[in-house]
Amino acid sequence: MFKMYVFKGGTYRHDEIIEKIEDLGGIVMQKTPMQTEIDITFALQAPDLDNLKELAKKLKGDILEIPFGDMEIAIVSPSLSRHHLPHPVCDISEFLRRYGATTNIVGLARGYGKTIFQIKDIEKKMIEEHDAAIFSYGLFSDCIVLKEKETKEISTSYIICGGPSKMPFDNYIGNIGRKGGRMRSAAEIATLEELKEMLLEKIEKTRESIEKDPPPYAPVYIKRALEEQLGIKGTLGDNPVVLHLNGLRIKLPYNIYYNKICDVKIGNVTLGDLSRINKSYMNDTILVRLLSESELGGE
Amino acid sequence: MEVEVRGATPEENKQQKKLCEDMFKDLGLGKKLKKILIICDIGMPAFYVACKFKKDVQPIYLKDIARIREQATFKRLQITEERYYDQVISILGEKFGNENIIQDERNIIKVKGSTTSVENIKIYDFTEEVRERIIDALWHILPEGFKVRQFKHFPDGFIVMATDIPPIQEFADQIESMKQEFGGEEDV
Repeated sequence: MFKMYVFKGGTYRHDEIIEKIEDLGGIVMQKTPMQTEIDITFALQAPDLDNLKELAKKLKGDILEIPFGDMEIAIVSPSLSRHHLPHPVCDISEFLRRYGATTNIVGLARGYGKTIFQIKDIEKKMIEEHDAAIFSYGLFSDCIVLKEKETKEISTSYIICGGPSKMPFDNYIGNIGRKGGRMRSAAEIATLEELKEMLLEKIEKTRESIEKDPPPYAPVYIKRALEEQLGIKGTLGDNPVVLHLNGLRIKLPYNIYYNKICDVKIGNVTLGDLSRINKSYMNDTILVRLLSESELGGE
Repeated sequence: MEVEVRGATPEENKQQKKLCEDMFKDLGLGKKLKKILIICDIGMPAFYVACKFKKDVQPIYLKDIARIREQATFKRLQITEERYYDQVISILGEKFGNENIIQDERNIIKVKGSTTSVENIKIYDFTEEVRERIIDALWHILPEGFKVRQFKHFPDGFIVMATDIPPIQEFADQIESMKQEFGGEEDV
């Protein structure tokens, strides 16, 4: 299975790294030059990494694993008001981005209050489109207990954050309640690290289940094919094709691009044959879920 | 500023207190407040907040921001605080008529035909601004869904109750007991 890495080093001879990645069967996802420095995000099979690390060492660069590089994570806030943003919701989001995640902040329409709290069906579906979700709740345990009941139906892996240090749920991280300032003290960063570790643990289970019955082509391979065949180009800030663990989100209008995406050639077949392509509940984007080999009938 | 939080678990009280202190400090309101008492009734649910201003939060009078000289046919005001020029001119204009207010220089204003004293004209009520800014900060501090609100104002502070259920008698009783504890007398 492909894993995501980032090469951090100088621009001098960086083309050698790109060539080596391609020789090893890896896929370069993004190049971010910053004056004399460059970040190259790429996907590679884990056993081939040692070979690349030798070259990176020669060029005085560094290769880091970005564990959430192929994931889209929803950070769910009770609302998009100043009570929850920018702290701690944006702090969590920013922290996970450092590890390669593509994060979306989802503000619930009626996620606040104790007696008036609710999650709409469409919001649940929107959250389930992501690989994982993080719910950021408030300071009071009584309210968190009530809100946790509502989130139980969500099928994707999720973590609940809140103020009280302990709660009777397995997927709970404390001390991330409402904050007046940025989470930058050592204790707060340690809490965010704890959140990251818990998320990694949860995702590892999902990855294992995908690995048991994987789709015939990895999402990174499909992403490259889409970009090449449809000429999709992003900017440094916006990534038009977002990786999921078992699919992709394509940020293009569904009605216009559905047929074009179905016809994209992957090997001898088309993407339409390999996946379920649906309209996303988020901003008229396209959601591609790759079918596993068993779902495709082992063809 | 002294912040006291009661009603929830000690850990929740501590976090709510920190949130409150951080918020007021960021908004520069910490020095304007003497005491804040927050009572959290999570079971209900309702939040009660009592605020008391410091004594230096007082209205600004003309004598505080201007040197006043009586002359034969007019009064000459030399304004010492630039930020109040607009308020001084508009308030004097309302009181004595715009035709009687002459701004000779940037900071010199002449008031013609005034027979009464101008020293004690209230130019700016800082208490009201502080009150508004504190209330605005409180909407940030209190949980978001608590939009059923009830106020009790005093000259040097106020009590506010916020909940997400329809108001009941218990809220009024709690406000009354906080009023006695805080020493507020008249309702303004």
